[in-house]
Amino acid sequence: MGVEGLLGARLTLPALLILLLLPLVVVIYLAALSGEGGTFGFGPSIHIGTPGENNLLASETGYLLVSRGDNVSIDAIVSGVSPWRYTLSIADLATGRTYSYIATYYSSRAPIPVFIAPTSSLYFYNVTITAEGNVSEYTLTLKVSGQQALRREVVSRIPIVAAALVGMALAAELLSRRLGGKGGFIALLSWELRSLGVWVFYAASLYTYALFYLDLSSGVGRSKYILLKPVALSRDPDFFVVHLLLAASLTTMLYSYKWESGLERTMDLFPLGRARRFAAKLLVVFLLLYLPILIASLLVYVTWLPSLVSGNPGLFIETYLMGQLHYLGITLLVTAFSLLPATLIPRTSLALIAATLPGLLLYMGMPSVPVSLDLEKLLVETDPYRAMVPGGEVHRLMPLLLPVLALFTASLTISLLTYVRRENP
Amino acid sequence: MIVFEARHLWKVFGKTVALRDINLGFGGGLHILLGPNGSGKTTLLKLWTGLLKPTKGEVKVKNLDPWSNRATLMRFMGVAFEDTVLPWWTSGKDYLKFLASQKRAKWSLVVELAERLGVTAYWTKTIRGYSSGMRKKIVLLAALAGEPEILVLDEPYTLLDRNSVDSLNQILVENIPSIEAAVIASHVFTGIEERTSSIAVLVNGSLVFYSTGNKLADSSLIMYECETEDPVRFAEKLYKLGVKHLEIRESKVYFEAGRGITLPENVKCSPRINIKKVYENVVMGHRDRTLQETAPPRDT
Repeated sequence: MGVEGLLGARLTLPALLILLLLPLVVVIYLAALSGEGGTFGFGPSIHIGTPGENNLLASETGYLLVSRGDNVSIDAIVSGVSPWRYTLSIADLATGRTYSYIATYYSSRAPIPVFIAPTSSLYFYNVTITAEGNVSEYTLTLKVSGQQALRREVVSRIPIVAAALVGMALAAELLSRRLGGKGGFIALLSWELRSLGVWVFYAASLYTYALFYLDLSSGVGRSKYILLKPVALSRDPDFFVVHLLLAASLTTMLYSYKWESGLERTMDLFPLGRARRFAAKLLVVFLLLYLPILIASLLVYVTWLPSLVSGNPGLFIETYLMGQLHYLGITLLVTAFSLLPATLIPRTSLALIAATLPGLLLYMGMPSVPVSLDLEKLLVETDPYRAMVPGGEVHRLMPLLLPVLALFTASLTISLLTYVRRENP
Repeated sequence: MIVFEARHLWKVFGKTVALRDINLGFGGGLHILLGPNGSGKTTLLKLWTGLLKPTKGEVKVKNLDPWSNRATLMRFMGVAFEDTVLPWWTSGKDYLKFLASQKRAKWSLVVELAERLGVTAYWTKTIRGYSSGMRKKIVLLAALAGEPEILVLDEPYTLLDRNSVDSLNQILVENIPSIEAAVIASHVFTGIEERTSSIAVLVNGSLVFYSTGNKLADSSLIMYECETEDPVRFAEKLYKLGVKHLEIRESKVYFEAGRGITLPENVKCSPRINIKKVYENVVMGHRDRTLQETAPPRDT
């Protein structure tokens, strides 16, 4: 019995897919152990000029994504003014608890206290520097810096997460067995997933993603999208290439190979319309490309920042969904590139090349490609994590989503028509 | 009512004409489609099952266009093609379970058929390890599952051992009364052809012969199988009646004769149309005609 048989024979697919997350928990555990002593920071920002209203020298806001025990200090160096007032407030966005510090300094370089994060969470900070007396000109430098502590919280949570996963796998197993044997679209979907040796693709996608992106390091940023740091694509945009290769393998396996091997003819003898089968295959592609990203990133948040997920679900979901929308755009893009050749070319070897090359060439920046089609630039710039702007708005997601949706719709329409209308000798 | 219909049907693959101007209609009952390799039998069946689209003309099954109604037709149609590919990564049982769930077939009936075809002995193993015969039985079982109203079997007997052929024939004989129509394309004669309602012979993509069972019985020599206590004496009588070739096996006498022959009342005889002979005559006759047409003119 092969590995597939060994794993697949006894467990139903949903349980198997949940259990495949266990190695990912180990990866998170190792990442939690290795981050101690790492530094993070922001700035410095320099303010020069005359004081504003109410003697305001500078005011800055930002977000801290930190773990319990991390040290953060927001240093200020003020010259040309004495005395000056330093006001800092830090709000835990998970619990709503606020920590404040106010002090008046006479020297330009002051001993600013260090904030030690009481829980792993997303914090909002607001630092204000004001002049106490009259002043004509000043220079102010603000710098946010921090040092990571050992992720004890994450380490201690790992056994609970692992146990929860095993429990979920058991529940999924029971539920699957109970619902097993039923016909309809779910049975068709399950059939397509099994035909693909789905766990191999799922695991490949899951762990590739984990190796490229999972990051438990703390960070500081101007917008709440710093929360996307653990799963940000713009950290290594070459992930697009891996994603494209996975999409090409999946689509050619499901469309070209099944056609070439004659399995599609066998399925034509079932009372299943081709449009329905096309939809099931497409859903499989989508699930296998998108689900691992969704699950892996969720697992990181649940393990690292459970208080934020449960304490401020509105903020978490809003921010997280924006990140996921970006991945959705990328998933649709790679699917659009590979779906068309996979359905048009009934020879697997040729289809695989055709499904991979156009996307790769475009990504690598062919000399003839106009600047507006610089895919790599587009992918990075549209990542909400990278496109953080004051006020927390993300302006640049639409330039990715709209053309991608148009491309995907065109590719989907032509592919579906080809698939439905092709003879099967 | 005509169940399978082809009208002025042409099917062309590139430069190859697979079917040329076929006009054929099969009503209820069992129908045999005969023809040598490459005659277009499978192509015609693939057109009737909606896998192919006619190049010209039209095909209908129960008055429906199979190309645009394939999924609907497959709800009550059982189909087995000789080159059906089975999903090798799963077991025969799981494949049949999936099929049964999609066809809403009673699983207990599938199991019963599987037992009769001797499939249950191996169906939990992965299909990858099956022999050709084992796969063939799964393909046939898939066609028979779900109590189909219409049955299309392409070369169902190839790769099967004698016992499996007998089991399949027995299942078919039992089910023919409840099946609206069945078409079997084959060039192996196993006995099922004796129950045919009609036969059609294709050669090189053309329909060269079509006849109903009744017409055949009137026009052809019939193979008789008679059982008697004194086969030698019976053979002598037959000889006097003009029967030149006969065969005695224990208490049975086999011979060919026309329908008009008067047989003694005390002898139990069962007549059968010799389809094999009919087919051979048709193919030989067609070959002779083709040779004559293509032969160079003689010098006078």
